[in-house]
Amino acid sequence: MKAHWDVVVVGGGHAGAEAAWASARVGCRTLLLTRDLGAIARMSCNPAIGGLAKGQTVREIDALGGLMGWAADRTGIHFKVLNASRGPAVQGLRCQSDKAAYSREVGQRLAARPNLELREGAAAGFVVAEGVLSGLRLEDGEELGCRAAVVTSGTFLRGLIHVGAERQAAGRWGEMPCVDLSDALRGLGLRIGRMKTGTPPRVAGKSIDRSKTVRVRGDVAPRAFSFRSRLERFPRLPQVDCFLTHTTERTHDLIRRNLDRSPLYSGVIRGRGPRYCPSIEDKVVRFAERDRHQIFIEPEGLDTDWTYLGGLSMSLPADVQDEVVRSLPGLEEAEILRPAYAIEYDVVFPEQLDDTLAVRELPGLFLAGQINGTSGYEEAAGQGLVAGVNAALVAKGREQAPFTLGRHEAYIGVMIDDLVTLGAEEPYRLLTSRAEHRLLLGGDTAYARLVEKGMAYGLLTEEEAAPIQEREERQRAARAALGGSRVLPDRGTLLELEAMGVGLSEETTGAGLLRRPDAPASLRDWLAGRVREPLGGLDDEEWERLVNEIRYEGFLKREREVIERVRRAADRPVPADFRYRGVPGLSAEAAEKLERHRPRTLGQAGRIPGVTPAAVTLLLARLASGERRVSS
Amino acid sequence: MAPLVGDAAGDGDVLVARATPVGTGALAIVRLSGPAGRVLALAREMAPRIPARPQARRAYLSPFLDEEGSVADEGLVLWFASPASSTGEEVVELQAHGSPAVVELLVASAVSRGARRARPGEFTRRALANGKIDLARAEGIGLLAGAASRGEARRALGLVRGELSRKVAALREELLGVLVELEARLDFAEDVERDGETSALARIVSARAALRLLASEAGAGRAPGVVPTVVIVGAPNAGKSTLFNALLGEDRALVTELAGTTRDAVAEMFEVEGERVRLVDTAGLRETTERLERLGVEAAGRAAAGADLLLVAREAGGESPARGDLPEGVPVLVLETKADLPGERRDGELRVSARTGEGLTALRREIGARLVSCLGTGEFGGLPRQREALLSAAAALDGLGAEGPAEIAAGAVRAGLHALGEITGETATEELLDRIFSTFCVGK
Ligand SMILES: Nc1nc2c(ncn2[C@@H]2O[C@H](COP(=O)(O)OP(=O)(O)OP(=O)(O)O)[C@@H](O)[C@H]2O)c(=O)[nH]1
Ligand SMILES: [Mg+2]
Repeated sequence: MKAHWDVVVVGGGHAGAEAAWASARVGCRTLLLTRDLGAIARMSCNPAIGGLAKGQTVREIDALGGLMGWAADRTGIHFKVLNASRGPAVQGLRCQSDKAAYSREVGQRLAARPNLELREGAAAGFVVAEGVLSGLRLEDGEELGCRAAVVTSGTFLRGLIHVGAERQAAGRWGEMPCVDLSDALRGLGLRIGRMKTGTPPRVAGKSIDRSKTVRVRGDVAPRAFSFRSRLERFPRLPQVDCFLTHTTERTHDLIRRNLDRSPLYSGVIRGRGPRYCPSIEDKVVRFAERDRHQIFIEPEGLDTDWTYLGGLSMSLPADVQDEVVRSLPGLEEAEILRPAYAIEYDVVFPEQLDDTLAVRELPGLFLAGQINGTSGYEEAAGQGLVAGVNAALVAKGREQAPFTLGRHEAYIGVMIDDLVTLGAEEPYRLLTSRAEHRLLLGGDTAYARLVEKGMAYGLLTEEEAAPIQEREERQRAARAALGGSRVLPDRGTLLELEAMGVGLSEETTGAGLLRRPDAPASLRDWLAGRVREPLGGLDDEEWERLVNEIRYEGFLKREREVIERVRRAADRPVPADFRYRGVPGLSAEAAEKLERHRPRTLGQAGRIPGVTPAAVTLLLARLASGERRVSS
Repeated sequence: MAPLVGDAAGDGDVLVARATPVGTGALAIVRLSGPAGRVLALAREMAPRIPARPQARRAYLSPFLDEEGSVADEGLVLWFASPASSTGEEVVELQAHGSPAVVELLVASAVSRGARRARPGEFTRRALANGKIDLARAEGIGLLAGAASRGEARRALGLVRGELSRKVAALREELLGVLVELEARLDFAEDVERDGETSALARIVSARAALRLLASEAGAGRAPGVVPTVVIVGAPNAGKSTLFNALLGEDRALVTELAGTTRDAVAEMFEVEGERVRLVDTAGLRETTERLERLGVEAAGRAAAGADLLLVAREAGGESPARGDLPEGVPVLVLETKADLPGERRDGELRVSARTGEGLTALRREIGARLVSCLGTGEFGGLPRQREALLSAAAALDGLGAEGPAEIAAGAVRAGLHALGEITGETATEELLDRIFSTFCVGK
């Protein structure tokens, strides 16, 4: 069949948007196909971007030329750095977004992108020629030829919404699910699982009595996600506050009394839900000793009265939801605009993908986002980006090496490696604790880690990257200058330092002073006075990063050494056609798991659950003996 | 000990071997282990009364057939389904009457029907590969098989019975608990109160001390087959070779009244206080121009440098070798030899006479006591790897205080857990998240 398109992206959510954007940037004629062009990059759940591990991920997407960070900056209405008092690696920037503005922003960027066309429609099947994907069949019967496709269908695959006993087949509230596509994936021989997630009620903001709640302010000096925002006015939208309330004894009582009406509890919903995002039923049952749980009151935008109740997702019937919401301080009169609901949907077990997010069994087909068993906009976007680039590379005839990110390089790399080696038994969310090298994956270093790679694949032009590179250069120069600036304990210096409460007994450097745990903020000006050239030009964020890099230098160095060591062992490749079943000593169970996952390296093999260190040693022994045999 | 993953050819085979010690006991157990289905089929040919669908762990009475199909014995048979068996595979145990001849008939019968005789350690290796025992216990089984002294056997048995695994498991549990506290606060800052972090960090300090203590209990350990070395050194004619012979209880080294008799380092195994020790006699240390003797003195120096304990022999009234002649860092026990002869006495030195036997018992006891530092005080241990893992776990936690930063401490605790995993073969990643979610109510 004739390829009208290089790449077709199915789905216009956060994964689809980044996939289409990336594919077009790599230079492929790309089509984004979605049911509703008005719902591009819609925030189906909380109106927020970023957070711990997620904020870092948004920066990575930004460093790779993606859309999410910039769109969040332009439409954010409340910015906050989480863990601000901690080290840079575990801080996470988050913003509340104007939901509608965000969707518009991304939609406009995509529409303006050369090489990229947007079209309404839905895929229903795959056209395969000689074992390779050659096109997509749409629900209306039309066939679209393409060289590669990225499916990002979110929660739409046989989506089923539950509110109490009421059920409705839907991909999101009021939107049609994709049934044919799910069958088509099954038809390819892929193993399909079922997951569930939920979203809390939305209430009318004007029906809330905020005087009974706690006001939560954003940061006084908001930080931006994107490097692009430094080149324009930021923040663009007026900033608003959020509010905090909590459940009460009455709430818990109501929930306990009505548990039998919750499909989550009555056994109707079988899909696995996320433990880090439990429903309120779950929280009340599992943590029975807690007398209250926090509920976050978040506006969905500036021009809307819709308000999101974070922490209150549930699947109870609408009448109970009314009572539950009204048992919260400040929400006694609340008017529910849309009830909370649980949704079950099909996922493709992600062990069936390789680390470019390609389906192993059907060259040309890529999957990204919730279809792979993840949750979260950021997780979806990160996958979309990787799948989009790789789909484009396949469409262009694989001229360039696949675009993959290592676990030590990016959270996106950690996530994809986890997915394709460990699989996902519950909706997967990024956590900093999943990254063994998280010290190196701070949001402040995303550009240093990724920009060159982004440029190499055409995701950033030289012109776009120039300000980033200038900034990195400034940082390097400042660090060198501080490391080389001698501070001698002469009378004048001692007096000046003493005035800031800093003692000095022997010669040190500017960096040496900053390394002290008690270094006062006033040192910045003092040092800038001595090393004006590179230091004077740094903004607050750059300065903070500089101080952090100096303070964490020792730890970072150790971390890099560990990586080197681990990598040498773990990077040992396992041939794609390796036969696990005849490996002496390997248990049948381990062999079966390995056959299924087909790890590319020994490191991946060792992370597969059920594959013990002893099993890895057996593999290593087999690989080594194989090599000996080949070389002799 | 046979390497755990050495020659592993033929691992899909059904293995057969006698599972009880050789000898004519009342009962002997012949064990078959292998892939599910094949073991039962094979066992039913040998013991026809086993039902086609036996109940696991139930005893069936059956005749046992030999190669030709005639009844060789009769006894109980137990069937264990995979993975609930000692090796994790399908296992059948035949309880035969204990004569070695009968056991051999049954093993041969199994071999004729397609089983293969198990090599030493092969059942253990399968148990390990299937996760039925941890690494420390598997290694204990290997060490026990090769134990050549009471001490080695005792420590190996400690491993087999899981003494080390248990203590390591307790420490691992503690570190994992700390990690859960730290990671929950790092990853769910909005849900989990920061309070409690300081006390979690403080627990790291005591865990570190406990790791070092356990390392000293486990002792320096020996690579398989390597035993502690005790080297006798001293001036020529001090009576070293005579002492060497007396300790061994045989005339192994030449003795003459001439100074400079011993020319080469002579080594022999002997058992002292239940421990196997390599005892080395050496040439007397002195400046010399004679070529052969000089080579002997050099050999003595090398032997001394590799010793775990030096016995410095000094004739009553004679001189000790200068400190500079002895290698640094090796513990030294100075002896006054020829105690039966008159001469000047020095306080505090052990006096021995190889001729009368005076002081030899005390010397043996003293050697035993001094070797504890390298063999360990604990009732388990044996391999240097285990102590190294404990020490590297402790080292990973060095330099951490109750101030944090928490993400650095968490990284160190992970490294510590990883090091402990090298003893038991476990990893912690998945467990961590499970525990966070069951301990803390996190997420919106
Ligand atoms: N009375 C007495 N004589 C001893 C004793 N031990 C050794 N001798 C004598 O001391 C002399 C030297 O003994 P060796 O054992 O050969 O001494 P050595 O230290 O090995 O000497 P070199 O090998 O030459 O360095 C011999 O004549 C022994 O009989 C002892 O306990 N009592
Ligand atoms: Mg001698």
